Amino acid sequence: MDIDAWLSRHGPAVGEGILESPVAAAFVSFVRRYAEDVVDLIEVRVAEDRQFVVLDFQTGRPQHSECDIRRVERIGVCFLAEDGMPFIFMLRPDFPDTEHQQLTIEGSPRAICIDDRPWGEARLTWTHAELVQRILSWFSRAIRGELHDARQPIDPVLSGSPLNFLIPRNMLIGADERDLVGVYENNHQRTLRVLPIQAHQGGLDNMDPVSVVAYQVAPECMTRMMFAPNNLASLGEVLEVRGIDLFKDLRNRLSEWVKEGKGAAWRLNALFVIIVEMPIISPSGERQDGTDLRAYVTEKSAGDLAVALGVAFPSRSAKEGSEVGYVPAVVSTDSSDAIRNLVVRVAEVHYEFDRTTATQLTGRSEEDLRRVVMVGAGAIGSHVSDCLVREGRFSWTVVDDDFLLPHNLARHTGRSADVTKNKAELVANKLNAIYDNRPSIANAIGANLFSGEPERSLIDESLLEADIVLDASASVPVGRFLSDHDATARRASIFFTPSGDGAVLLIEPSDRSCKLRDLEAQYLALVAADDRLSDHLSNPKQSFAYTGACRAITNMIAESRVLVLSGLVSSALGDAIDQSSGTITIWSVQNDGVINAISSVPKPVITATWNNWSVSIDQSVVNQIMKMRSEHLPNETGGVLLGVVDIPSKRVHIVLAASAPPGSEETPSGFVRGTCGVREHLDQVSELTGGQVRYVGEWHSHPQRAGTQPSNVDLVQIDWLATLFEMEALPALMVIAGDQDVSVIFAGINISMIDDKSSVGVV
Amino acid sequence: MTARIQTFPLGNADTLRLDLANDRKILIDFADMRGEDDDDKRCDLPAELRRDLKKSGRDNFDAVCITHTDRDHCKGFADFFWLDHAKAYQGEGRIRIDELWVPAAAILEENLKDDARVVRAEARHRLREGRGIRIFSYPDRLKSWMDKEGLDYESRKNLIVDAGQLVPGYSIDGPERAEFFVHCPFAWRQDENNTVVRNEDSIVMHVTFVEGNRQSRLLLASDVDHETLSQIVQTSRKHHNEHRLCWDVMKLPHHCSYRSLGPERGENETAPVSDVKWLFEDARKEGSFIVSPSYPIPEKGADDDNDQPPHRQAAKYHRRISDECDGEFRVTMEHPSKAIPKPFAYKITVLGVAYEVVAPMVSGEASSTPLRAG
Repeated sequence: MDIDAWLSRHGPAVGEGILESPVAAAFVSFVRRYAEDVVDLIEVRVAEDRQFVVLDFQTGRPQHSECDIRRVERIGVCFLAEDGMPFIFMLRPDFPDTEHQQLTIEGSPRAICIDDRPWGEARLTWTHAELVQRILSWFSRAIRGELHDARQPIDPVLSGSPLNFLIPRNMLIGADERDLVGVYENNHQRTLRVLPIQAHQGGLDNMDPVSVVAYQVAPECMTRMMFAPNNLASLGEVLEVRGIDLFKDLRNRLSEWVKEGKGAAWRLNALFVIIVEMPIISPSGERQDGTDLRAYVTEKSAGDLAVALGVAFPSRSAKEGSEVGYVPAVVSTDSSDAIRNLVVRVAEVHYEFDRTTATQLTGRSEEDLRRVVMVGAGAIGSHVSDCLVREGRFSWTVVDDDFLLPHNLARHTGRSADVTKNKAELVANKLNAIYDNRPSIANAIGANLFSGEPERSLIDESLLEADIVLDASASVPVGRFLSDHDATARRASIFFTPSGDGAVLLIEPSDRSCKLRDLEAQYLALVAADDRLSDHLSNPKQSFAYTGACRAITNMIAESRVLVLSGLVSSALGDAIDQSSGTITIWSVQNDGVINAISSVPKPVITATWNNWSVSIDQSVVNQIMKMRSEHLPNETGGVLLGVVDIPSKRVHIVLAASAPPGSEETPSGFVRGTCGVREHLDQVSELTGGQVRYVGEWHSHPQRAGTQPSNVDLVQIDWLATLFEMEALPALMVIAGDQDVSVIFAGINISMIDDKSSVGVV
Repeated sequence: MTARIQTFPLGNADTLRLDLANDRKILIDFADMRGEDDDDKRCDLPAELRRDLKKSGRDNFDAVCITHTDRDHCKGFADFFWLDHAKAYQGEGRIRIDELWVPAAAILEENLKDDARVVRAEARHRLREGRGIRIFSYPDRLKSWMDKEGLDYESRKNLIVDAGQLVPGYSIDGPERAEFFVHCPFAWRQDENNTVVRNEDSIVMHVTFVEGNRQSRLLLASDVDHETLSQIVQTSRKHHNEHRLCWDVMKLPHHCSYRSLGPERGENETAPVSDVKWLFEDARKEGSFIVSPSYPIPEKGADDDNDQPPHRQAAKYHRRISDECDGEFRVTMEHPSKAIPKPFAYKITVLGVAYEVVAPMVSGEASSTPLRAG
């Protein structure tokens, strides 16, 4: 291209004094005073709407460069009359194609992108020094091959249309067979939401007829754009070399419309828009992620275009084609000049928000279509599901029989008008409304998890088909029920602590080698043992009785806290569900906003059952017992056992083994557990865990080579324990540690081996 | 960090500072030429050097090389540096020299005055002490001088670097990623002449820098003339050391004097003798840089178009050959303008040598200037 000719179109070269734009004048003065090391001022040009400052710019290019940047580049800084970011043109005809350039129209020099901030934001800190710095930085990155963004934005001021089109992804297919409208808000006519006319519910005064023809350039046909087309002929050329015969296709389509007559009247008289989706290609020709979606707006109706293409005539009389305005041309005529004169402006196109966009914007490549059954649609469930859907996650079944009450609005995604609605339906509807398109991604079962028929089979079916079962009920029985259900889905549980200062995520490993129940027990063990969690399950400072009935108490948790914690939970849940290992993660927010997170990997569990009772012990507890034993050898040692008891399910899970209290007698032939501080310890653990971890029995060690069978003394002790536990109709547990393994003994009961390392004794 | 070659506008005088990759700093000559006159456009060299040292939190150079003891290569030496040989040079604020590099001639020459005499005194002192010094070349007269002084050669021979050797302590494989190959002075020529010819017995060195896996080379040609340059080329060829003459940056000898190219100045452009032509045209790499440490190049017929360098005919040659290889020819007193010349620098990058362009920013200025509050 001829740079001088192009420059001369931007007004004559003038003296600096004549610069009207205060910004341009100030820039020239800055260059003169401070930047002569970097730039030489060549000339200034003044046109009606813009002012040009032409400079020779020192790029700092070393002896070698990743692309053809010269030591000195002539550049044009273009200041627009209206306040806006200056454009930086490269005034060299063979300036290389690189990343981070704007697409300019044919016949314009290249323009580099030095600032991706919107002008409204950039102008707050924008200085001339920063402009020079940003240009220099662009050159440095180009020289080192460190420009990475291959997109080629078109600035509306340079060659674009101010219009923005919003369109559902699936509507581009067969768009030319639909009667579409572009709906806009009254005060925002630049943004057109494209809908089928049938879907438009408003009046005629805030919409325009739009007719859309869409093309998709196949990746194998795509080459990088060198300029932005600015008339229909150049658009045709751009598409032709990329495998699309625009004019042939348009002649076919438009002549069909004209022949169709009345049925196509809407389309023929609508604003004609060509939408093209192209793969993004880097300057070196490599395919990039994402696509470039642009609308080319003709400013003509489809009928006028048909006339320009020589396939129609405007109807001359009222009789012929009066309702359509156009009649078919019998013989199509040569139309190249007419086409060249049809200006097209480039406009932005945005797909309506759907799972694909949600997934891309979260930075993931695969759409996550896994089926989730979420039980509980309260504070945490409504927020976390909302968050995950916006991140493109899951197909949802929401189970909850509860109804939205006014006080729920303090921390729920529901609105005032939703009060009295079933929470499951409400949340499912809200999730569906996030995405534009159908089919829906969420459905509801407005029933209690423990319901009988007919909901029973519906719930069970959903659970059996699910990939993930998410307990968001904040209810211990619900979590345990879900853990025990026949479904094969991976289980997760999420809940806030009663004080609202913490949240918990429990997620099983994908092979379910550790079940939700076990995670619950290990979580409680963590709370009992970790000093940082001493306030974790403390009672809420304040509660609010919302009806006056004493069981109808709601906690005072602020929505701001709910949002923080829901965000943490959503993010961790999303990450954890993509990996096979499980996790127990606990977050605590302090009043000053500091967040502590504690994570623990689920530990293997050994379980034995006898009759209706089953007892589980974490491998880590066994290891701890073995460690205490060896530290005390040759003496015996021991202490109390603590665990989680589920009486209806007849389960005990041993989670902690305490060391010997002071005053215990530890000898090579026996162990007497002291009492000093035992009561306090048991009370403390009970308090820390909200009463869920309690005393379940005793452990002690045997000397080397003594085995793990109970001695005569042990048998007496077991007898005593059994009697004691009978008071609460619970089994008594005794664990005996030997050289290799431990025995777990149910008082008076003989049960089977649990594995080859640990055995259950016989009494 | 990036290694740099820093130049200073000092008129017809030499000073370069090399900042190596491991932050070692080496000064090649020290010529504080600025006069009392406010209109003097030459920079305040002590102030420039002190500012840089302060930024690095130090008060010493790892090495200071005085290529020869002409005034335009050592003026102000006695005022700026902490010198070991006499208390008079040991006041507060003086800059220390870990290792002083001088040609043998700087030790041997008699009847010196001013800074040249002080350089000699310091060099002799350090040689007597047996540390903090490197002497370049070992002519017979140095041997006699040492004998006379009762200095044992064997215990000091590690302080002597001959032409054709690398300066010890610097390697392209070490953390400094740089090495210094010595081309000049030649011991044999000093033996033949038996008198000191300062310019021709000065230190000529070739520096190799490595960044990433790319080598960049700097030729420091002090003030030698075309005959010495030819001698260097021939000697390097004889020893298959031509690669030690390839260059990406050339510190031009003798302030752009035609004498460093050939015997005749020429009407419009100096013609180099054949070995020098090879050095400037064939040993030069694409996109390489010539720095002329000199006053601005005179216009034809102007007052300063006289016998003194810089010679416009030599400059014309250098400009032409620079253009032919996408190179640059930059004069210390012309950049960025003759009106206000400023120090400039080259960076050693993985893509070769680059002229350092710094965009003017308030924060950049403020962060490199100490702020004082009362």
